[in-house]
Amino acid sequence: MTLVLPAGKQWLRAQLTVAGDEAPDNDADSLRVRAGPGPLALTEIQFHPAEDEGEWVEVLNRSGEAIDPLAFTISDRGATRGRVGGTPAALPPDSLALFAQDRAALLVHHPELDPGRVWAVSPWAALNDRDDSTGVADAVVLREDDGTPCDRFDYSSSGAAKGVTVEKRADGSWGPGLAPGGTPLSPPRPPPTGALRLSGRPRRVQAGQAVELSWTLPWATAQVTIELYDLAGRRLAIPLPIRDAQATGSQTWRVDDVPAGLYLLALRASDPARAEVLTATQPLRVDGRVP
Amino acid sequence: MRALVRALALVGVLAPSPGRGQDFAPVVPGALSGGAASLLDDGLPAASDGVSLESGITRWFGLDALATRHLALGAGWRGVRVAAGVSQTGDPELGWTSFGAAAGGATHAAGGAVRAVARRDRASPGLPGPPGAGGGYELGAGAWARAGERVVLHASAPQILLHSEAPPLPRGFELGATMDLDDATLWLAVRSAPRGQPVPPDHELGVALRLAGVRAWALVRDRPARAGIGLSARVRAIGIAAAVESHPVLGETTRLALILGQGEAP
Repeated sequence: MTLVLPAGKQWLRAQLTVAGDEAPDNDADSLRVRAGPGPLALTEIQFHPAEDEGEWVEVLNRSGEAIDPLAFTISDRGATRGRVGGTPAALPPDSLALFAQDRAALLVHHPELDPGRVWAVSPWAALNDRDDSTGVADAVVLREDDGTPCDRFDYSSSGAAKGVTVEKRADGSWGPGLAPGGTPLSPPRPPPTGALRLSGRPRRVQAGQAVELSWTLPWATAQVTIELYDLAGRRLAIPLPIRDAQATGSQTWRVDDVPAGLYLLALRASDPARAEVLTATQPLRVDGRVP
Repeated sequence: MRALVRALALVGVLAPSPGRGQDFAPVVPGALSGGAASLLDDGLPAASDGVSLESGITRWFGLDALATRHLALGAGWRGVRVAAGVSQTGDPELGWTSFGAAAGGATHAAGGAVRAVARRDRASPGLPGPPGAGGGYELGAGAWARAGERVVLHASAPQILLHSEAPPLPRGFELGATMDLDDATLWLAVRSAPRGQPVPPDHELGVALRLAGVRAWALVRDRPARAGIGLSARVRAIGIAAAVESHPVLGETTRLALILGQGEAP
């Protein structure tokens, strides 16, 4: 049976009638539901901060009118529902705000944030940072005071290194953020534009020394690999085996088992969604004497 | 055709264009050229007397930071062959300057030479990373001989002896042969891996066609599979040559040369 509900909060009530029922008082139940989007939308989740700033969740007021933060609860998949403490000001429409595990620590690490839009929550349901067997690490659930669902997102930690948030992109999809540490109270950082870039520093090393390989992609994510070729075009080593990577990244590679000579580092990045493969190269010289 | 195949089989591995070095890599494949750059690069002297001056530039894999510019002068008289040259590769941090010399002899039937290259880093102690430690040198040799009127066999060991700083590209031993078919030339080469690298040899197969004052060639190589094409033209004693070779990952290597005097003859 299909039921079309008008937008907004609704009560669903079910009533069971059985002839000869000796306890008709317990034959009904009701459920608070919401049809359509709620007033607050989840936009970014920091579930494993690299610094000691605490976990935080960013939300957007999309209701078209100011809302009271005290009228909402936030939880994970469990039963613990945290509430905003203190007397925060109403959140204007189309504004971002943060539910914070540790408001004071967060403001220390991000002094640029508007304190009026950073809300301390207690109790805080700690967010998991490892996926379970279903591929989900945890969920963030927003509800109104009366239990009406407002928004929910079940996130995966895959592809999000420590410190990296998951955030909602301009196209509505969710994925690892592009800015280290996230973009609290700011829109998502757009993917870098321009060419694929590879940097290996230093460009001249001795055998056994380390090279810092860093890259910038023209996409938000891609599969990347870095290979080492000699001047005859022969591949000698794979400093970075193929793996999923974000728009920017780095890897330290120790130059072992590579004879002295002049080589080329080749970064190859592929975006399956676009069926596109790009390559960037940089010379690397390994100094050494003839054995 | 059967005779051709038998001839190719008898000579075993066929001709070079021997593996290119870094400093004096000739733009025109060695199978087609007996210029100064070939003598300096592989120790393979020209069959005929004459003087040649070659100026070339190679942009390796599309990188300006790896461009090589060389100038090579060769001379042959009464069977004696000599060459000298200078080249510079790369930017000041990674690059070096090379001086090459070769000497040998050749007749219509055979030829051979020894070649030497000395390198000096361009880096100064003030740059980041290890300071320019100086240089190194390499000694090698090459030889060729006719196996019939149309077939020439080649062998080249460009780095028999290495000293001090390692060369930018270790090079292995090369064997090959060239077959001249009037207006067409075929060549095939096998190059062993450089010393200390336990990898299979790589191969090159090429064909060149001559038409009026122009010669065009195409070649294929393996490990990895790739191809190249080139074009040369000559008017009296002045010749120009251009070539491009692809690589499935690293991009294209382009070469350009101006040749005065003896050298590639279309």
